[in-house]
Amino acid sequence: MARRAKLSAQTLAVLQALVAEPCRWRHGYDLARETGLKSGSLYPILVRLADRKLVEARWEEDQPPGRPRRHLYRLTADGLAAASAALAAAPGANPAPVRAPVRRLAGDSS
Amino acid sequence: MTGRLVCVLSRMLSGAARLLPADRRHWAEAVRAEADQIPARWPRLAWLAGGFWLVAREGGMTRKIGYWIGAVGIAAAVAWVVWLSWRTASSADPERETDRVRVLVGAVALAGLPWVARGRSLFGPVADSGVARFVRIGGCAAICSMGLGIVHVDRHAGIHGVVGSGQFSWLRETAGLAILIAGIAVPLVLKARRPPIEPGVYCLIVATAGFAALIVVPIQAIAVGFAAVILAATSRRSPVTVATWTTGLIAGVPTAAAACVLPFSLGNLYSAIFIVALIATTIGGSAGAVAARLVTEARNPDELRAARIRQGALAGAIAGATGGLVAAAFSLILGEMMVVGLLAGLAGGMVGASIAADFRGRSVAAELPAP
Repeated sequence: MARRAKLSAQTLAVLQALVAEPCRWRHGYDLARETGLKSGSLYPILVRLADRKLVEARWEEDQPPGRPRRHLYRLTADGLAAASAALAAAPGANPAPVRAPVRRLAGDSS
Repeated sequence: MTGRLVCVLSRMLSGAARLLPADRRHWAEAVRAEADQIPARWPRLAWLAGGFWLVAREGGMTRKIGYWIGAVGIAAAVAWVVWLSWRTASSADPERETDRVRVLVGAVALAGLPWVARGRSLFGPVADSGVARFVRIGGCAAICSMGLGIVHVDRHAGIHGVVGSGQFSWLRETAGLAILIAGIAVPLVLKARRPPIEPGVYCLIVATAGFAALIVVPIQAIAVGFAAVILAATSRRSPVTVATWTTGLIAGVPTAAAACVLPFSLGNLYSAIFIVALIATTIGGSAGAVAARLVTEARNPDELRAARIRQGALAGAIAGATGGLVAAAFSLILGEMMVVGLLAGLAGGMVGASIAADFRGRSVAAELPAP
């Protein structure tokens, strides 16, 4: 029987940010602002999640004026199910380091 | 100033992305593309620095750099030991020439074996795991330490005659070298020209050549044999799993402690060798049992049992060989421990693994996934 790897607080924070708007494509800086993670932490997490087919990634289709195309991310169907389960099972349901917007998305402000 | 630095770092990150496998490069490009959206300069620098960390991490750079630093260190140490054996050996030492040949053969084995079998990946490149890199560097360092021990013996005469005849013999050295080369080259040539030969034939040729070399030129045979085993066991084609390496190395610690301490505390080398053999067998058996139970994946019960016995035997051999190698690196007069530890650990590992593989036989089928 395969064992489920325990997710880190940072990974849960990224999943929490993605699960709040599962249909919306998010870019890296957007996720970094919301989770408070540095690029050196955020991108390895996105790589791992993409490797596990929990996150899908694509480049922006159109070339925007004055800036390069961005790499975009959102949860897959499996990723949404796994993220929901992981967040529900997370102790305290408030994985750190999470800034105020994420707490709001998680429903702590209610 | 920071603007120019950002520009340079951005270009460097784009170049560094090429160090990643093709299917990973777009992640580094993603970090670079996002950097343009970050307004302030210092946060943008920090963002790009994160991109370099991503490249280092995804490309396994930290492990690769550490490994290559270790490899260069070993090469430098080998060259230093060869230089010492040529420059500092006393001319009054009757075994000086023999020891120079021993050091030179060990150095050539460490440097040349990966090159000899480069086309067949028998001795390299190193497997993609931290423990394989650690074992390869640590094992080669231990063999190098044995060379240093030979040089030390030469400089502080008084225990000559422990190994070898004490007189240099071209005939003996040439014959020993020929046997060692034959033991490595014949299986490679046979495998290249006649692939259908049974694996047991290769093992028989290697074992016969190894035994003959052990009688004629014991130090060279042990050095070359261990160099070959370390390089082969840590190569990508090696069957040794990370779990087996870890189990064997942990079990090797008490074996090494016993092999280092007992000869000096008992004052009798042969009594110590006997007790160390018993310890290596017992610990190797335990390591074999643990490593065997850690194997859980196979297509059917027979394959699972065979895989468990194989990994268990390897774990026992690793435990015994580690103990012997550490002891020999600690003191050259404990060189016998290398052979004794390896064989005793292998025997113990096979027994332990066989018992563990057969333990609660019905559970073997239960552990397998449904077809």
